[in-house]
Formats: sequence, structure tokens, C-alpha cells
Amino acid sequence: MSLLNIGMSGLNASQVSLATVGNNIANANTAGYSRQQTIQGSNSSHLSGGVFIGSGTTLADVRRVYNAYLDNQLQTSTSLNNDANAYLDQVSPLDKLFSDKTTGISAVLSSFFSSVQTSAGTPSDTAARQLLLTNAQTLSNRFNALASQMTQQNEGINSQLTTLIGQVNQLTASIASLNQQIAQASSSSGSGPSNLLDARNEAVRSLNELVGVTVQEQNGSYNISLGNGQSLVLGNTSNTLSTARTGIDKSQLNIQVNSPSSSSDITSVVSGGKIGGLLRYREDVLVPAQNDLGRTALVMADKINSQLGQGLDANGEFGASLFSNINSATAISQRSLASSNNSAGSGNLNVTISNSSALTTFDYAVTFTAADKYTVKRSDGKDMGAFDLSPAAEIDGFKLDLNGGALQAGDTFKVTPTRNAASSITTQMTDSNKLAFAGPLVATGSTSNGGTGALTPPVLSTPLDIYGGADLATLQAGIKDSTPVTLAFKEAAGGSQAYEVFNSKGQSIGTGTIVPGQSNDLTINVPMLDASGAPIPGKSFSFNTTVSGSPSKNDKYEVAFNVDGKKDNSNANQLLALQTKATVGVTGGNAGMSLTTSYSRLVEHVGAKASQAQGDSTASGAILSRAKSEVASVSQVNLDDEAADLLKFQQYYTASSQIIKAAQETFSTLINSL
Amino acid sequence: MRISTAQYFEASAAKYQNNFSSIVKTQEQITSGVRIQSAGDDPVGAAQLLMLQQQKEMLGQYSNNMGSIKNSLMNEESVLDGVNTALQRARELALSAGDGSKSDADRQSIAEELGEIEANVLSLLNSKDSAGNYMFSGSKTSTPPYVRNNDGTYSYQGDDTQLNLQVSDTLSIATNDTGKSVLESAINSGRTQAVLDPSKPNDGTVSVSAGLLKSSAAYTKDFAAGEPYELKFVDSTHYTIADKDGNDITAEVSGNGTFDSKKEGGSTISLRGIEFDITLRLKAPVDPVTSLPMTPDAEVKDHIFSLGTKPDTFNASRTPSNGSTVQITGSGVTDQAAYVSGFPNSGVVIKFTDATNYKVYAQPMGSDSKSIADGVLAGGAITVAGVKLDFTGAPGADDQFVVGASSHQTQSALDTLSQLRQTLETPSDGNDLAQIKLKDALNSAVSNLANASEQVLTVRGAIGARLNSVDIQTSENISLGLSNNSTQAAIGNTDVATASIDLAFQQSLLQASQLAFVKIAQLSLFNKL
Repeated sequence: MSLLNIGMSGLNASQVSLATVGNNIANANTAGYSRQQTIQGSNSSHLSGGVFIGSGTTLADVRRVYNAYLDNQLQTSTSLNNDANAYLDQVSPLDKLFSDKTTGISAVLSSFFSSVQTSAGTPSDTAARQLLLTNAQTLSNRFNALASQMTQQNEGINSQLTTLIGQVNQLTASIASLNQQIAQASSSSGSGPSNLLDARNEAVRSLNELVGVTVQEQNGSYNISLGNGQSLVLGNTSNTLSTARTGIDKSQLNIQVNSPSSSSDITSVVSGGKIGGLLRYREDVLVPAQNDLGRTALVMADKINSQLGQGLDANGEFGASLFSNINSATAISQRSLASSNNSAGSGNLNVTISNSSALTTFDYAVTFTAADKYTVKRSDGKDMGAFDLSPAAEIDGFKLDLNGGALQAGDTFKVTPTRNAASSITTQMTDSNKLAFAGPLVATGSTSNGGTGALTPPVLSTPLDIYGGADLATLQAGIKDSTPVTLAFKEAAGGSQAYEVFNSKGQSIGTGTIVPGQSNDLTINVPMLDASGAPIPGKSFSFNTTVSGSPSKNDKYEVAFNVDGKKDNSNANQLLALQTKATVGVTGGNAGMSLTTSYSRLVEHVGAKASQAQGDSTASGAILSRAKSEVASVSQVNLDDEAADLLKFQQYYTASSQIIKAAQETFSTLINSL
Repeated sequence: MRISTAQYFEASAAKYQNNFSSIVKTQEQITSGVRIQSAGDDPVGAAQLLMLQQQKEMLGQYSNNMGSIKNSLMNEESVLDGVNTALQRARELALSAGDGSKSDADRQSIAEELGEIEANVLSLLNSKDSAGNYMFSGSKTSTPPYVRNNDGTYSYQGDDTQLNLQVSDTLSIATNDTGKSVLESAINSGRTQAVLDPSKPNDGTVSVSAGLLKSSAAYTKDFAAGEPYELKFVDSTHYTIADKDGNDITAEVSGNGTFDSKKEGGSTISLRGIEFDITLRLKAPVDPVTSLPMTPDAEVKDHIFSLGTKPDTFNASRTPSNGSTVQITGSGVTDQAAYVSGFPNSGVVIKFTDATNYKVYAQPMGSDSKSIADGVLAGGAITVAGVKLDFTGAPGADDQFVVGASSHQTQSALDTLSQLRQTLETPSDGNDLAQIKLKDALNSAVSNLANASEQVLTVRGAIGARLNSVDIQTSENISLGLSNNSTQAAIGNTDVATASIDLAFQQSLLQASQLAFVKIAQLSLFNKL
């Protein structure tokens, strides 16, 4: 009887073990499956005749082989690796785009300046002028193309975020439901059902692929929360995430968590997983790169337009702008973003670029402390100080003023001076004759001069401000109407030589002295005349020239409006100098850099991020694979193990059968002997 | 360590992927020859490459610029060579015209040849380059540099602007020279005059040449300060000279006031950089008219000459479309200060609004030009910027007159040629006064043509110097370019040797791992059951 029972208990145990081995083999390739082991215990012994006799075996448990510590490592490294990979996936295309010769800025910038060179060589050649115009178009189009790629990348990030957030919500819902099922199953059977536990672990791992979460186990339930403690799953309830344009920058989707009572923005605290990687990329690379490229475009447009405005075109008129006006009404209204919480009736801020060289690549947070007072904080954390609306103060090269209704204390704005510049730059000139290559003034010695004096081409002491509006027009007309100006030299005496300056009416407007035989830098101030020759009170302009050699007595030099200097290239040479002149980021004691250097710095910056991302991805990949292999080493199925177990349990089964057979034979022997 | 089956396969696949991607990357670097495929491969190197690329393109552009500088300077050089040849021929002709045996007819034929040379030089200076731009008018490439005025003089219409091209980051070289520097700045040797005091008849008994400039510096420094000088003959071998303040400066002149008209070189007065020649045509011992005896000393005595710089002259012309036939006949500076301050370099246009009122515009006058002065015709004359102009009558409304000024400090070769031609065309056989005038004109023409040639040679020398510096810069740019290439190659190009060794190594790793995988994957206990 007992022997039969013992045999039966062994037979039962070995059957379950065989089934477990079979299950393990069948699930060798199931994701998240933890191999199972049977745990046996011996049955109670009976006291018989003073000795304890065993009564067979019982199956104590079918146990998951699982190590919570290793699993925790796997969860963390999954989140980090997915973060790094998502970042890398975004930064690699941008890196390629910027550094590729055919898609980057530097090659087209070089060809633009090459065509300026060609034009400087033959200023009157219309074909060269046209080529310059075409190259300018290519250049502005290339800026637009790069900017649009970045805008698309931003859109891509938005749509990925929406998809990923949807997946997060599914996973958190299923974890909550698994928590509930496991609690129910456990309460009836003690330890939880392995498949549900595995499924829940796998769900948490998948969740970590999307976003970094931490798990706290409480009474067999997993409570899931984000990095900062925002709860996603609590017992068998889950909070959903959603995307919304709640930030100050409406082009970016933000992430918020919705609890039944409220919802709050958690964009800044989400880290890890694909979502964390995307947000990190957007913050770290995309926005700075947009600002940086925008700054290069802005400085380029400003400097080239301004330089062209200093000269005279092929028609003998002051030059027109090649690129779109950086301070157009549309442009200045698009450089600030108003917070949605601002007071009713308040509008936007107008951001005018007053010194493009001083611009940085940062954004600025503007907070109003009163209706006309504000403080500014730069995105690198620097406090720029407190300012008044009027008179407008220049902050890092830009000025602020109101464009809508009055403001109130507490209104906030985000100022992005350079963000949109690369996408909005266009080549607006269509007539290549309007390119100004000639200098505005020309000095001519009288043919009757007897001395050896010579004047360098005169340049205006103060460059014309092309954004000057009516003032600019007055000055331009004034220069035209107030010239020619004559310098007449007197006799040299006592090592110096006096000269007198006369306006076009022959009226003396100034005197001075030079040292003959040396280079003498002169600044000549010219009171302005109107078109009829009458003086304009209080208005004047001045120009610089250098007198070398020794003029004779009564030698005359005329400084005239260069109306038909078709072959003069002095302004074109100035334009050319912009290729290597430090024009970008000349601020805060920095010497600044040229346009090409500025772009190559951007390439270097993005390249460094890409290289770092590559390193991060490799490193976190190694950590992940180690964590995986450690988990796998403990929990996953090894077929050789199972083969050995299979053999073992087969033999165990056979042996148990033999016990029954022995019991039967013992019984038969007893019967037959009767 | 326990290895699960799935883990083994997964790990093998991942490692195989890694090895394969690095071998593909090495292959890419070898086939493209480029080590830095994107900035992420080497951010600092990539930024350096961009800067080097810019430098390379600038060097390419500089070499284009040097090509066009060379081209345009060579063109200019060949034109100037033509000008120089013409001027030399003109000088030979001028010298031969001074030969005392030449008759009016001979001089006429020389004048004709000079006329051809004049036209030739004008057309050379008005040459255009391959793009159809005038070569010598500075930046006013669509304006011909020289035009001939009604009175036979020439005006330069260009400006002083040179076109500079960049040939290195720091050096720019002018591609052209202006007519101003080629011709206009040639110094005028015939800038002075000697005027006989009217107390004696101008019958050629005593004549003093207009003077030839020998030293520009002495003229500017000394002569101009003391003019006008009074040259007074004491007798047929002595004279005295006094400056404008009456100081006797005879001692400054070598010979100290003595001269000998019969001795070669004995009758030259070398005064403060200017040489005057004294010529005596004495009638002594008997006066041909009164038949009274006379001495050379008495004949020469008390001839007084005023020596000084020629005053500025004006060429005035009426516009052919004028309604009236009024001409400008006389002109002269009456107010030196107003003339210096107000008279434009390029000359003026006087436009009458009615018979008496006029406005003055600076040349060239355009539709939007503004008048620089206005006034009323009074007593048949007007004064514009210190210059008095005499009219022959009352002009009509809208009549225009163009007035240009010429000082005698410099003279262009064209004007020299034109003056010489006109002098030679004037008959002088048997006319003492005309002969003296001819001699003066020939002397100053020969000297001025020499000056003009010298000026052209100076410009040609400058062209040579510029071509030379282009050559030096070319070789410097070439070596910069070479070092740029090698730096770019060092930073950005694949080191093929290293890459090939890498490739071989990666290949053997990959092969080994393939082999190991195949062997190990076959091991399974199930096979043995």
C-alpha cells in the first residue's frame, strides 16, 4: 500500500517535472520567459515500530528562476540605451546633412564669395553680376533647405512623441490590469502565476524602452513612476500621458500627465527611453542648431545688405539689398513668443536686431515686473539685468518694444532672436544692375596739379544705416547734393601745408593742415545742402581719405559723387572682405568669427554631439547587453540543461514505475504464495 | 557562467553585426579615400577641413585674379609701347623741324606726319579692352578718356580710380592705369613766358625765349615764390634781374649778369630752375631806317622783360545749337582765391536763361545737375568763380557755353603734339618773330615729349613691378595651395596602409567568428540522445 503510494508520488512528481521541462523547452525563445523549476519535498514519515518511515514525495512548487536585482539593472539599462539610440537616430542625419559638401552651407558660401571675386574683377560685366545673383539665390535656398530639414525633424519628433505616448498608455494600462490579475491569482494560490509575472516584467521592460520609469513593489503590485515621482501606475489604476502644445513655443509638443483631477506638464522631467532621447535631442541639439544656423543667416544677410548699401550700383544709385530685410515688420514680430498665461489684451514683443554681430545663439526669457519694466534671463542661465521698455535697451544685439496692447507685471515672453532667420532668408534682388560695387565718392586730382599729392578713395566716416528709413534717404540725397567738395592746398610752410575745403558752391567749409610727403589721414566734415543748393541746418556727413605725397600750391582735389564709376570695385572689395572678417558673435570680449568659421563651428558642434551620441549608444548598448546576458544567464532556458533534466526526469519516471511494479510484484508474490 | 541558448544566439548575432559594420566602414573609407565621412567621425577635423576648403577656394580665385591682372597689364603694356614709339618718332620729327635749313613746306609735311601721330596716340589712349571698356579712363569705363576740343586741345574725361584685385589675403594689385597717370601728369617744360615791356617795340632786336623748365623742384621752391621777375638789359653784354619785390638777384645767375650772344651757351640765363635764352638781332653799326650810327650797347639797353609763369588759360566754346552767334572771346583769372576754391576741375557749363541771366553748372552737366552759381551779364562780360569771360554780344535764352581751364604745370603729350603741329603749320620763313616763336615751341615740344616718354616709361616700369609681384605671389600661392592640400589630406583622407591592415585584421576576426559560430551552434545534447 505505502510502497504503491510512494511509487505514485514519484510518478506524479516526475510527470510534473517532465511537463515543466517540456514547457521550458517550448518557451526557449519566448521574450521575457523565466525558466521554471519544480521543487519537491518528502512526505511526512510515519512512526512505525520505533522508526520513521518515509511516505514518498510531494511537489512543493513550480518556481520561476528570477533575480529581482538583475532585472532591475536590465530595466535601467534598457531605458538608457533606448534614450541614447533615439538621440543617435536623430543626430546622425543632421550631422550628415551639415557636413556633406553637397547639402551644407560652406560650399555654397564659398561659391557666393567666388562670384563676388569675379564681379570685383569685372564690375561692369552683367554676366558676372547675374552669376552673383544666382549664387546668392542658391545660398539663401540652401539656408532655407537646412532650416526646413530641421523644422521637419521637429515635426517628426512631435509625431513620434504622439505615437510613443500612445504606446506608453497601453503599457501602463496593461501593467495595471496585470497587477490586478496577479493580486487575484495570488490571493487564491499563494505565489503568483509565473506567466503573469513574466508578462508584467516584460511590459515594464517595454515601458522602459519608451520612457525611463522606476518600479516599487508593494504587496505583489508594481507601482510605476517617472523619474521625478510622477505616478503612472498605482496598484490597478493607471494615469495616462498625453501630448499638448502647452509650452511657450507652440511648435513643440509637450508631455503632460493626466490624473483624474488635474493634468500637469512634465516635459522637463522626463528622461530615459526613446521619449527621453527625443526630448534631450530637441533641447540639446535641434534648437541650438536652429539658433546657430539662423544667426549665421542673419549676420550674413545684415552684413552683405549693409555693405551693398554703402556703394553705388551700375545705375549710379545707392545700392539695394540683396537679401530680405532682417528687420522687416514680419521678421521682428516673429522673434518672440508670448506665454498663454499673459494678461488679456497683451500682444507680442517686437524684436529688432540692432547689432547682428553681437547676437548669441541663446534664447531669452523676458519677465515683466511692471507695465514698462522687465528682466531678462538668457537660456545659459545668465541674468541680463532689468530694463525699461523706453528707451529701448540693446541686449546682446537686439532691442525690444511693444507690438500690441499694454502689458502687466507677470507677463512673460520667450525671445528667440535668431531661431527663424535661416528659414525666412530670401534673395529679394532680381535686377543685377542694382548690386553696388562702386564706392560712393571718388577723389580726382585736377589735371593742372603740379605736385605729387594723391588721395585714396574717400570712404564715409560713418557707414550708412540701411535700416535708417527717412534719415537714410536724407543722407543719401545729401551726399549726392553736397558734392563735389574741393580740397585746395596752400603753400607748404614750416613743415606743414594748409588746405581749405570748399563745397560745390565755392564756399569754404573747413581748413586743415597736412605734413607733405607723409600719409595724412583726413576726416572732412561736409554740411549738407539740399537739391536747390540751400544748406540743410544741422545736417552734415563726413568722409575719410588719406593724402600722400606733396601737393603744390593751388593743387586741387575734387571729391565727387561717383555717378558713373562703372568699373570702380572698391565696394565690391569691401564686400569680399566679409568672407574672412570676424562678423559673427563679436560680443562680450570675444573676437568673433567669420561666416564660414561660424558655420564650421556649428558643424563641429553637431558633429561632436553625434560622436558623443555614438559613444553613448555603444556604451549603453554594452551595459544593456551585459545586463541582458546576466538576466538571461539566470532566467533563460538552456536546451542542454533541459535535455539533461529531461533525461533525469525520464529515468525518475521509469524508476518510480519500477517502484509500483515492485509493489505489484510484492503483492502478487504474497497472493500467489497463499 | 550559465549561458542560455537564446542568449548565445542573440549575442553571436549582435557581435557579428558589430564586426560586419566596422569592416564595412573600413571598406567605405578605403573606396572613397575619405576618412571623415561626417563631422561625427572627427568634429574638430571636419571643422578644420571646412576652413581649409575655404582657403583653397580663395587661392583658386586669387589665381584667377592674377590671370586677369596679367592679361590686362600685358594689354596695357602693348598699348603703352605703341604710345612710346609714337612719341619717340614725334620727338625725332620735332628735332628735325628745328633744323635751320627747313622751309615752311618741309615743316608743313612734318606737321602732317605729326597729325597722323597725334591721331594714332589718341586712338591708342582710347583703346578698349576685350569687354568693350575704355582701358585708360579709370572707373568711367564707358566714357572715352580723351576728347578733342574745338580749339585743338584735349581734355581728359576719366578719373583717377584704379581697379584693385585681391591676389592674397593681404595684397591687392591694380589692374589698370589711368590716362591721368600715363599722360596727364607729365610735367610741362614750357610753363613760363618772357614778356617784353611795351616801352620798346617788339621788333625782335632783343628777344628772350619763353623759358624751359630744367628743375621742377627749383621751380616750385624758388621760382614760383619770386615771380614775376624783371630782366633789364644794361648793355649788349650785361643785364640785371630783380624779383617781384625789387630785390636784385642777378648774383644768383651764373655769369652774374654777363652774357655773350656770340658764344655758344653764353646767352643762357639759368634762373631758379628755368633756362631763358637771349637772342640779339642787332642792326648796329648803322640804323637802317635813319641811317644814323648806333652802338649795340645803346640798342640793347633798357629792354625790359617780365619773366614768369604763364597764367591759366581757358578754352571756351559755344554749343552749336545756340540760338545766337555770340562767342566768348576773352578770358582770364581776375580773382585767384575764388578761382582756386570754386572753379571745378572738369570745367563749367554756362547756361543763359535769358539774354542777361545765366546759371553755371559743373561739367559734365546732366538732367539732374544743380547749378553752382548764377549771375547777370554786365558790360558784355561775366565773372564765374573768379574767371572773367568776355562775350561778343547778348546771348539768347538757353544758349550754352562750355569753359575748361588749363594750367601749364603739366601737359599731356596729345596737347604737346597738337601745339607742335599748329606751330609747324604757321609760316615763319623770313619772319624773325615767327622764327623765334617756332624755336621756343620746338624747344618746349622736344622737352615735353621727352617728359611724356619718361612718364609713359614710369608707368611701364610700374606695370613691370606689378607683373613681377604677381609672379612672386603666384609662387607663394602655389606653395600655400600645396600645403593646404597636404594638410587636408592628412586630416581628411584615409591612410590606406593603416586602413588595409585594419581591413585584413577585421576580416580575419569575422572569418574566425563565423567558423566558431558554425562549430559551436552544432553542439546540442539533444543530438546525443
